[in-house]
Amino acid sequence: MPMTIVKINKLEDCFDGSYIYKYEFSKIVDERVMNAIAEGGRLQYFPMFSKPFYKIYTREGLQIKGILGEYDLEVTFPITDQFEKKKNFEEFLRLLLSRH
Amino acid sequence: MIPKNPFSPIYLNNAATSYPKAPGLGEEVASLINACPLHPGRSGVKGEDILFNCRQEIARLLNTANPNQVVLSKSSTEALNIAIYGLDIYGSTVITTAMEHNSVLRPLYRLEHLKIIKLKIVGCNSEGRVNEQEWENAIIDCSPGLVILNHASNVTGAVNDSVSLLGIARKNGAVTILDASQTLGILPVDSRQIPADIIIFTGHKYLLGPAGTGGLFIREGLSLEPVIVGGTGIRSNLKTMPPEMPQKLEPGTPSIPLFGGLLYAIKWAASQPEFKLNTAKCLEILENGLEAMGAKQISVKGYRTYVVSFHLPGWDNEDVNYILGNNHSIISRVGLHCAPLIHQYIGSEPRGTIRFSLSRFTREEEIATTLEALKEFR
Repeated sequence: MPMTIVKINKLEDCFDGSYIYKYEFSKIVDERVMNAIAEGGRLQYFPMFSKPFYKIYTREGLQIKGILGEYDLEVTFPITDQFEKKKNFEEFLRLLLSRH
Repeated sequence: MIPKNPFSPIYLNNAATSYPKAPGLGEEVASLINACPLHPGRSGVKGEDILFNCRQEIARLLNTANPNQVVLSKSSTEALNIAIYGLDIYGSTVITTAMEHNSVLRPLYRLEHLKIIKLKIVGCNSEGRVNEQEWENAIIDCSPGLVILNHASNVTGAVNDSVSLLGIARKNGAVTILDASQTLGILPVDSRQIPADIIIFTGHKYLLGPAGTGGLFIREGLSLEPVIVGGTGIRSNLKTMPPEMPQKLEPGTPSIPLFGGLLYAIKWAASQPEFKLNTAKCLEILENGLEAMGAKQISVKGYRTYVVSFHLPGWDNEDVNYILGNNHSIISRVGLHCAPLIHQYIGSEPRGTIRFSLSRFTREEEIATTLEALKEFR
């Protein structure tokens, strides 16, 4: 069975009107998935935690963070073109996950 | 490798809303929802006047004799709107402080935008406590019609000297409002000592009650115009709201299950008064631990609540919050905490702080586990 998005929840944000969504998946986000999402963007990886933490800055201005080995991640969309960027990201994500 | 949090979750966000609640609260609320309403009006179920009893308990906490001066609402925010928009302050100057929550600031900004009031905001010191001299100067210079003072900062825990500050305002002819959202239930709020004409409270923080409960105490002799009007269950022949308190300011069917829950929680807390030493010890251990690991804390001396705000140098606050929550099931709060102005005074602009807020239920073992988890950030 390919990895799929199970749930998308909007999260509160205290700040600048950016939109944060939590994506939950049918399988854990492993290194392969993390690296695939980060392709073309900038990955920060913090292995010193009991479960490694990662942040990805995409070329489209999205900020993604998660814990390696967990079933979810958080995505912050910029306020400009947020809906289009969200739609594009989800299309990209579905395609990417279908290979995992 | 950090061991798994054995207390999962560790809840350190009580300044936002308390958890756990008073033991048995859920069952009490459920029983009231499921009970047959015996009275079609406002007194409700179980043959007792739950709303009056709830007012009475709140009046006892506030040390005031007349429960009918306690108006129930769904939150501090609603109570503040009832107070601010219900007072005749057209053309007045209103003074408030940089410590305030948006529940105070936004109604005032709106009145300022509509040119109904002039607004003056008094700054605070690096602890987040109001500058007394600046407060006094502002009152003397502006002769305000209304002042609104935060009893304790939800960001730093610093408690203001409300007796002195509101005393200055009252002596100069202002109506005085104290926002006790962060204190009622955990610190004394004595309406006979504090010269507040209105005291705002919430039920779901340190009173350990359910969300959807709050209100305001209004000193006898001060009249507010109702902001929301409608049915009251009494004097239905009138075209206006009845003059009787508290019905004048309480239109609509009240949530008897929620206020019954609040009543239950207040009574439970009254039966368990011994917690402050333990919570204070937890706070001390937490602050010492944060200092030892080089966290940049907002240092607060003297009278305060059980709140610590800090920043870990080299780390984004949001990431610390995320990792604590997702790796360790430690629930904290990050950001501006809905109090946007205080941060310019306490050195936490632009991203705010990480905040731990303790409750009577916080245990030393939970603090030790939290400090262990934070060591991963070194």
